Amino acid sequence: MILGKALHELSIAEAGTLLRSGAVKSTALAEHALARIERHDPTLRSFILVARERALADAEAADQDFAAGIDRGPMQGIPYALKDIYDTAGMRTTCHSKLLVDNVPATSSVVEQRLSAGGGVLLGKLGTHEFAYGGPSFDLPFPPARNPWNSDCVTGGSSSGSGAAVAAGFVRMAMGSDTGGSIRGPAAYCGTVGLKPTYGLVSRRGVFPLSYTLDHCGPLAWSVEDAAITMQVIAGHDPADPGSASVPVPDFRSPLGLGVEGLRIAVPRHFYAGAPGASREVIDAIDRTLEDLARNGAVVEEVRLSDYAVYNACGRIIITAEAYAIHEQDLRRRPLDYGRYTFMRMALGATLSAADLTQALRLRRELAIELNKSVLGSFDALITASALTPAPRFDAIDPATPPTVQVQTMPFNVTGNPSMSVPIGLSRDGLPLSLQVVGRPFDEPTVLRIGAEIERVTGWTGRHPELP
Amino acid sequence: MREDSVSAQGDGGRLGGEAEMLFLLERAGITVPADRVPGMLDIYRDMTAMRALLRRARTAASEPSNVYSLETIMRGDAI
Repeated sequence: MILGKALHELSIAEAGTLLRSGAVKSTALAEHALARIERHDPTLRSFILVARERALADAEAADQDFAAGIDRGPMQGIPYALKDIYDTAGMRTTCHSKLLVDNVPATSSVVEQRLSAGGGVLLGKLGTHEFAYGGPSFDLPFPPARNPWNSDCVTGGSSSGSGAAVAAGFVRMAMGSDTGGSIRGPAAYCGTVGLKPTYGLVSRRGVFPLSYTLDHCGPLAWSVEDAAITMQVIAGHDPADPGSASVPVPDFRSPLGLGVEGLRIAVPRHFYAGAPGASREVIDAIDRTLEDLARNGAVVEEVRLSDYAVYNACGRIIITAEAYAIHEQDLRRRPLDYGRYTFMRMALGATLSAADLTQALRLRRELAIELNKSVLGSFDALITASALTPAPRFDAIDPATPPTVQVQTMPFNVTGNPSMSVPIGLSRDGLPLSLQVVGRPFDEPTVLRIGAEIERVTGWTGRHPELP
Repeated sequence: MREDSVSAQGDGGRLGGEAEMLFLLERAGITVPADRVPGMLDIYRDMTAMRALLRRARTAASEPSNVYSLETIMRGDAI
């Protein structure tokens, strides 16, 4: 215990201060995390690979740097983990699939390079839905991750291990990827923060693609501040990623604590309030949070966008087409090496026409203009639902058909805007509830600012599950 | 255990979407295990509804989101 907290409860900023003062060693943080993983992960199954030796070597190097007065940035000495679609040089990267079960990349993804160069301590690789698409599945080389709030419940996906590992306090931050909601969905179900940055802000190079034009890399974290600190390390132009944007990297932490006084927030309530299957608890929790933000000075107004189904259709068709293009040869040659759900969804890309994809891409431009000009042209941000329900149970999944996840994250993959899932409370059954904050392109600072205020008004920070 | 497979050929008794789906998959060289057909058909029907939502009244000037820009092309060449 230090500062009245167990080591895993220290925020990245708190741990950073203690590391720099010498009050805590990175090796102690790593050993504490490894012990928690060893104790609790046999139930939660968040890790595919625990890199004990690498973690301890990273931590030792960080401690030596601190002792020598070398400061590599805010992640120095901090344990983290990666979704197992991020390439790690010399360390297996499987995409949770039989097809890549022996794949050992020669080079690391750019995100891993930046975290490693920043002195971070890599604890290992985390479970995912296969190729960030199908799941949760029981017919893959590794079992699915389980929700730390209730291990009978799913974590959401596809960054399933990332959601579980962060919620369980194994790491303060884990990298995920988000093509239709794969960061924000697990964040919502597991009660963590999950930030999908603007398309182009974080390099995708060395991350196995699902859909080239919809894939985003970003962090799941215990708090908004932890996510902001991570962004400071991983954001930035990568000339070798054709989707990377050459834009200045802002100070992500400086707006935290500024509150929401005077900010104009749009709410497309029709997205979620009338959605089939939407939980009353989720809707009420969002309404309460919006009232709190308004009491604290935000101007909250309801707006109307195209129906959620239109945004969703646009994204789904693009994902299906692009994923199929990537896996076309293996779907023909090794169909049974894919998990059942992955195959069932991915193979259907073969049924799309060129006109379908072109119409989706025409619609995509129209929807991006609708959101960014018609709404965010006069509002600072938008708030809507993230998941429409608390996490469902595993035994509610029909084994014959890939599960349909009740999240409303796709619109902001289609438009590329930054969006972040933030916890706002617990359901009667003790499962996390959440909402989603969406900003203008490259305006992550405002998204984080609003997220930090939501943490404050809901009192969420500090709530964590009792682990099984 | 070997799984049975289904092809579009000899499937004339099946109605509507299923025959169409299986024809398109077979044309692409994909063999579908029989026990996966019902679940895939559900997804296929969802996708058919989604494809309809993509089509709006729009003029020929409404261009897709991935139209080339010289900057994009040059950025690739600059690596």
